[in-house]
Amino acid sequence: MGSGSQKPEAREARRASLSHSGFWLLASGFLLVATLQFAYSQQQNFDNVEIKVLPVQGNVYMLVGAGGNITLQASEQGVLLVDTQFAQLSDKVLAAIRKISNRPIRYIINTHYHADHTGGNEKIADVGKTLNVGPGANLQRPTATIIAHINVLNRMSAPAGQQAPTPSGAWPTDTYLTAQKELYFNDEAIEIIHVPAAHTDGDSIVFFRKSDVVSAGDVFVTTGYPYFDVQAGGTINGVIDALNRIIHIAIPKHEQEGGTYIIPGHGRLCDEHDIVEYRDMVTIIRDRVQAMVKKGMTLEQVKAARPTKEYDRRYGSTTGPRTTDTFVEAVYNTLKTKK
Amino acid sequence: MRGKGSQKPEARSQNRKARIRTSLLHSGFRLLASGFLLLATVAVAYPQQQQNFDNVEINILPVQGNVYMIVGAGGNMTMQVGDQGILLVDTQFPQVSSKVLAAIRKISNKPIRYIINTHFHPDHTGGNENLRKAGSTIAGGNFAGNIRDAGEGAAIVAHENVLNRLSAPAGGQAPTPTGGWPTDTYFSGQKDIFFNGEAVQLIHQPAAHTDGDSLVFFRRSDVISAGDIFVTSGYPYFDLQSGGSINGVVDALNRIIVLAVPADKQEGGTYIIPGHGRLCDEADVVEYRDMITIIRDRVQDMIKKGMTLEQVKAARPTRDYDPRYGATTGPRTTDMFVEAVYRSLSAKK
Repeated sequence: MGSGSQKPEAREARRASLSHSGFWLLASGFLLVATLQFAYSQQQNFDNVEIKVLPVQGNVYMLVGAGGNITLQASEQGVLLVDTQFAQLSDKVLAAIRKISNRPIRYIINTHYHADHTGGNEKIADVGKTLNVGPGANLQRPTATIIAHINVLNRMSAPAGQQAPTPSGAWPTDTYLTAQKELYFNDEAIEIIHVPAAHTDGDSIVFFRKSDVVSAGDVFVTTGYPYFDVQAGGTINGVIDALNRIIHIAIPKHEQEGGTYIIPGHGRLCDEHDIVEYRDMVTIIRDRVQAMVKKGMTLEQVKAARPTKEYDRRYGSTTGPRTTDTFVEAVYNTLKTKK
Repeated sequence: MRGKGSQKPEARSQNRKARIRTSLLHSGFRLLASGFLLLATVAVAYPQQQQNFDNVEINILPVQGNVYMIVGAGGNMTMQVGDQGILLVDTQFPQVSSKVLAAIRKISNKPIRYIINTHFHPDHTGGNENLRKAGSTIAGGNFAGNIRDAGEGAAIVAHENVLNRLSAPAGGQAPTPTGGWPTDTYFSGQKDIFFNGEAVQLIHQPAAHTDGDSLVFFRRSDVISAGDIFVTSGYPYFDLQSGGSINGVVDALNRIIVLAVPADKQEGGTYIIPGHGRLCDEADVVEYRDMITIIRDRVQDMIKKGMTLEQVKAARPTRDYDPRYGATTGPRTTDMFVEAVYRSLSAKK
């Protein structure tokens, strides 16, 4: 039981609470940035991207730049990252990590396979060092262990003989195919929980039990309607199940905000109430579209009926790669094919 | 966002102090713990109102984070301490309440806010009334204004069936005084409390030791208080008359194992406080779960073969475990355990 040598983190955590007052201001600023990044196009110019480090709670930090939010947990055993943003940003991300800790990067967990969450895998894993030195360890390449659901590996790699979409150095080195994987790192129990058929077919949410923080990946974003990658096995009902799973884990502080914090895939830091609101919104829209599907309405009719109407001001978009129309269409299509 | 940081510094320094104290004490800890095993074994025999409590000593063991284990007579108590006050899991016998209070005061002078009961048995709830009176509920707003004594006494939280078994229908004679009854019950699968900067989960385990068992999971401290679902001092005892069952006990142990995360390649990680006996980690519960599952399967097999209770007893399905867990005297003999397993399994179909 960790011999009391983690004092420095306690100091950092205190710094966290000091800087907390300005936090929401900052966070709402990032909201904008994050909205832009949501369009994770490869032509994007990363020169002006700045990586911000937000202390969240306990040993956990949130790194905001371009692409999905990174969650970082650091203490004496080293650094654990959830997701890695785009490859082009890895130097900046590494510099930001070094502001928090000089310990080696031991683990990278991927919430799903999309490039805005796994792009930096190779570069960041290469500067890390695995804790796994037992049998089966790759001593030629003792880079950080990359953990993900097995479907993440399947989608980043390819069967023998075929061209893989990503370099092998970016692939997960430790996958799981059960409902849950556990890790004990930096004196903290970490649960990696698979939520099936949600944003993709390989989503994990990561629960830091001692710090009381959930890293949600893209099953929860505050920047728009949920995006679920139908081609990669995502479904609207899976997203709702995943949101409910997070709500089940989260415990709010007694009669005030806070308690369990949730780091969304894109957007600002949240607590349970934020995610309850979001879950309600998604569920209401799902039910509306479901009712319209039952009535036999066509996709065009459903779009024209605007099932998202009162939420469009907050979450809607008419431009960019994720418009309200594409969301309604995706909901319609998954519900239609379901039966 | 998080309540203007008012409880931060104290909670944290207290936390750290506790952790240091823990690690200092920890070397001698296993030794101590095995000593308590003996004590606890004696205490498992709880129907003894005749027991003499004069010589009972209350020992407090720092476990991890904000959590302590209190060992005396009756079931182990769990204590969580912080800025907001004290939370207790179970209360032992009423005769030792003043000693328990004195021991608690060595750790914290804050008010007792919550008492959680893992189940209704008197070796776990006997001190409810005394300890409740020593505390006060966190109450405020309109509610406290209208009801003057809203904050009087600690809140007692338990599964609804605990209240049902401690109380009685109107007109009937209740087996225990009202002052010891739960004031806040739940009947869903789980109840959450956020207290002392820590998420605390009460998880109902149906039909295990009784029909009203709760596991209590302190998430930040990473400690589970198991109640009598898990005892290191003997074979599991499940109260058939109060809705317990062998399969419920196995399910509950598996639930604990799902929750527990061991430290990487070493002992520790999540700690589990058993209802009776010594402090454990996941590996200990796994061993115990395996033992029960094996015995359960053996008895199940014998029942399938059509063997009678006498034949099953004679076949000694617990044989290889008897040196560690068995007993031929006292209120919980091996024979009674085998009989209970037999009855629980034959009643099932």
